[in-house]
Amino acid sequence: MEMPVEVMPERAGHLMVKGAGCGGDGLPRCEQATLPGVVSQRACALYGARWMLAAVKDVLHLMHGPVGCAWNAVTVRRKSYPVAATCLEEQDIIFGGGEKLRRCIGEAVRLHPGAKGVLVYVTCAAGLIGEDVEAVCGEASAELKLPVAPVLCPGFCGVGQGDGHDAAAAALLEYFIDRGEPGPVLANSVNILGEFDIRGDLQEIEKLLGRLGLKIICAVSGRASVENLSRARRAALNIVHCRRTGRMMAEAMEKRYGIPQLKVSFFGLAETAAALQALGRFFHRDGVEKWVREEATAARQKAAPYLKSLAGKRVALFFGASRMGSMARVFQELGMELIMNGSQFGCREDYREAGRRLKRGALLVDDAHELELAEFLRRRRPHLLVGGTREKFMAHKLGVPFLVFPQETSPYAGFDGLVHLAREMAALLDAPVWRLARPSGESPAVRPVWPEEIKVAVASREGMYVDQHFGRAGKFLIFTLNGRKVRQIEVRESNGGAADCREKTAKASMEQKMALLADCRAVVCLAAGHCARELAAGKGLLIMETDAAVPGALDDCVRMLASEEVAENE
Amino acid sequence: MRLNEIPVEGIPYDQLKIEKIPCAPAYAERAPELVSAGSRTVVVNPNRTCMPLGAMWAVLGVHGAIPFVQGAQGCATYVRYTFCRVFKEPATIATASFHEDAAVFGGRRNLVEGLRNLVVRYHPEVIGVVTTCSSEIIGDDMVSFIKLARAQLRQEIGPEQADRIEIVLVNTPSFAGSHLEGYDRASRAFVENMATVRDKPNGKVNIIPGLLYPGDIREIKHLLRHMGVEGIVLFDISDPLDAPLRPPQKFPYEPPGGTPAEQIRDMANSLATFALLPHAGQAGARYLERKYGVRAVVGPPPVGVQGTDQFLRTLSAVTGQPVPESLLDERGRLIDSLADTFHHTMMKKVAVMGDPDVVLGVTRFALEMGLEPVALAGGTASKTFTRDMSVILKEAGFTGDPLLLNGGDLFEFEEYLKKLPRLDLIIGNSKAVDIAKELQVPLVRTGFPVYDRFGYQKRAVVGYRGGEILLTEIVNSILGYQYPDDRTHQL
Ligand code: SF4
Repeated sequence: MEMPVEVMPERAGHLMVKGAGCGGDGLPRCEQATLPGVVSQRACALYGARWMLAAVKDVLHLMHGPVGCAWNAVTVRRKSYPVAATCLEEQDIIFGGGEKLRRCIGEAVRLHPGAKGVLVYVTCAAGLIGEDVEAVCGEASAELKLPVAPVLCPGFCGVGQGDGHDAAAAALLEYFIDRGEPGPVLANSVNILGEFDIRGDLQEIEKLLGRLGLKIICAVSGRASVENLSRARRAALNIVHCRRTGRMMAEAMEKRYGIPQLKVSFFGLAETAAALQALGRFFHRDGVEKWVREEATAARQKAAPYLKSLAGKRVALFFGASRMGSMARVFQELGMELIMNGSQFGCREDYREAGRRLKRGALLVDDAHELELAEFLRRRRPHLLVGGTREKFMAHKLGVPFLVFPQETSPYAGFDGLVHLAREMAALLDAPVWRLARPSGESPAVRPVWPEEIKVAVASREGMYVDQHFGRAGKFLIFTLNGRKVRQIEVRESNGGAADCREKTAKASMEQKMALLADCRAVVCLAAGHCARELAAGKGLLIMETDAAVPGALDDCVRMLASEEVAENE
Repeated sequence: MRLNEIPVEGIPYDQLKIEKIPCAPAYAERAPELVSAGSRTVVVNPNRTCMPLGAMWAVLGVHGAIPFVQGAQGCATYVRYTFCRVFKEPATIATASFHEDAAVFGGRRNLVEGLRNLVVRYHPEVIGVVTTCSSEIIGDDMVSFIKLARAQLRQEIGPEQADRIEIVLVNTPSFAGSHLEGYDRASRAFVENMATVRDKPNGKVNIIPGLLYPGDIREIKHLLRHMGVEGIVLFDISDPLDAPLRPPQKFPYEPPGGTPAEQIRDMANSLATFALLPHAGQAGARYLERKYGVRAVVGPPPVGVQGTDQFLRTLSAVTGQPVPESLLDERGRLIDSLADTFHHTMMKKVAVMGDPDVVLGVTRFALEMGLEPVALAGGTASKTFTRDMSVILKEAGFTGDPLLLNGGDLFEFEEYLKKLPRLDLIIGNSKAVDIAKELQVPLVRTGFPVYDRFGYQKRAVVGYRGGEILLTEIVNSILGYQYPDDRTHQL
């Protein structure tokens, strides 16, 4: 149960291998500031606030900051939304931007006479020059007779986008929900908090709620407007679909208006069924169990043709925050094996939920940075990585298919959503490109006939798979490449040693290994530390990392050597 | 509106029955005194972004380099996200991860620790430190912070290794200039830090492409190859941001290519520096000229017939190499395409938006095609845009009076287009999609960013062959728009 990635001492505790007995409650450290410089996948509070609010209709979205924040904030979940901006400039930084903000709010409203409110996003620059945005908004609001809500989300606040979610929720609560007229509870009505209607998810959910006779007042923020937010306080129930973005509002609304809340997930058959049954119980509906079972069966039948492509495939998940647990269940439901689950800014509860669904040996990780993810992909070779666009192209480069979630194409929520998910995933895994991309697909012409014998060392325990870390390998199998033939000639014993460059004995044992392999052109191993790579580079020894079977690995190694040769001769 | 109802004469705005942007359910003329960006303070839908993006772009074009963004996480993450969507490639960009403590106490700890973590974990050969609005407002003393970071690195990994890493600082306060200036400043910072004279000239030319795509840079290299000229492309993103998929990759994944540090050092010994897009790159070219006497050739963008002619002519003058037959044939092929298609393009009304240099280059080519520009929006305000544009219009003998937006925003551009009696085509980047959709005119995508269609980063618009590609796209868009029913028109 080895840790599949190199863990910097500063990152210790953020990565956990299930069942490795790392003490404590087995949950990763979380909700802490990111280490600078490690290329984390986290974003800023403004990003989080935009994630929450961009889809709110009929209000003006005004970015109070430099032009870049505004330009960036236009696109949310691959859709663009119009924005207004103060575009702070040098003199505003020096003399303050309050007056500019005041003027901008007024002008923007005049340009958009239909606007029923204004959201003013405070970015880093505005936060740092430290002006009283709340006061300016208050005055503007009185003057324009519109809600003008400051969203306090300067990029540096908190640890990631989560703090922007909270700032956005606070703004919606104070300026839109709370200002609605109180009134009697609207019968059979719900709000959905933390639901963004990605590729039609909300319609799927609405269809199901419709069968229970429930009406959605507003979905935050997949279907949110000033009008429906003002009625939100009269809902009979708050459904929390995403804990990270929905819970804070649900709790506040429970406290203020006594609206009970229910945390559910509409992804996957089991979770959707459980959600509908819980709703049925809450609203005293009969016969829910029966139709839910029928729907689930029907969906399972529709998904059946795709399941054989998914069965037993190893999948790794890396999400924003709180979908880890519920989505884990979905992939397991489809017969896949979960070998990693992680998030950018999950909380302990998220990890607890996720941890429960992991098998021994699987990795649970908080705020994984780019290289950790890449190392994991390289060493554990999942069949599929699921995450956001930023991770996608790295995975592709390493030959790992990738599913973007939140999704890019069809709705994944509800019973039918699972069928979409199964179909699209099967397509991803079976795509011909992965077969074509295999090195064996390349033309054999690149394999040269070497004039002399070339030796390659392979770090393998049994000679079946490449399964030894370079630093820790106790022996190397030595192969010769002569012309087109590959032949094993001997086994060389080494005295094992250190896997980590920081270990004291590392240097000596590395030197010893280098001497042992002095006549080899390349070494094929499971992994090699940076110090080994440096030493090797100095000695002209090529290191190739793989966990493939030995013959295939040798084949790849031949290709790598050949392409090196070509590069050198060019 | 059904397709066959599209009037061939272009669409007056009042005939459109499509969903308007959320804030205005029906089109009412917006407070006219506020429509022009110059008469108001608020900016609606900006047509430019901030400096750090340009600097990050530049750093990614250096071999083995990683940008380090001295600011909060979003600045790096948003840009990575943008690059991922535009290039469909991984983009490794590190950040100092400012949090509240940095906002209060400054970013020293973040920079020192951040550079250290970046080095021990990712082993870059070059680091481009890019500042942001935050670090500039806090007033981080970057030069001394970097010294400190280097001292610590020397202790930790040994002086020899630590000193091998180039650390180049690019000051990019986001509240001034635009992404173009960020790139411009990076071009200067890199040559200032790295270029060194040798006793012998190298006989090469330097090319600073500006924010051109991998396809464009490949085309420029193609032109150089045919001219028999060796070039140093500074910020050569053509391989790092358009890399082949050939697993198993060497691990960790290192993007291939990029300008090697050695070549940047050698830039002081070249014959000349061509800054193809003046707003993004001339600072580097001018610096080399002032300091080392390397001639600076700034612009014009090598787009279309005359643009490319001019580039090749200067290149020929600088190097003494004649323009070969092969390139004259390419030119002839572009001219042939113009001859084959001008009856579709003549007198069609076109609006162009994007970065000023792109707008200039493309407009010049559009005029060569006989298109009539009606509105030209260069998102970044520039001292030269209006002047250069009138020169181009005059050169083409164009007598119309197109709207020139020097800076300004997309709202202004859109409102102006809405009131035109006729518009056939918009040429611009993906930020114009909403406008094109609303006006129901075709959008020919070019410039940065294009993220809603595939492949634009891979193909060229510069050079004669690039001109053919752009022309093809323009002509086919016009045909598709004017003859929505394919059966009515066979080319
Ligand atoms: S980190 Fe700050 S400056 Fe950067 S995009 Fe986010 S809010 Fe804007």
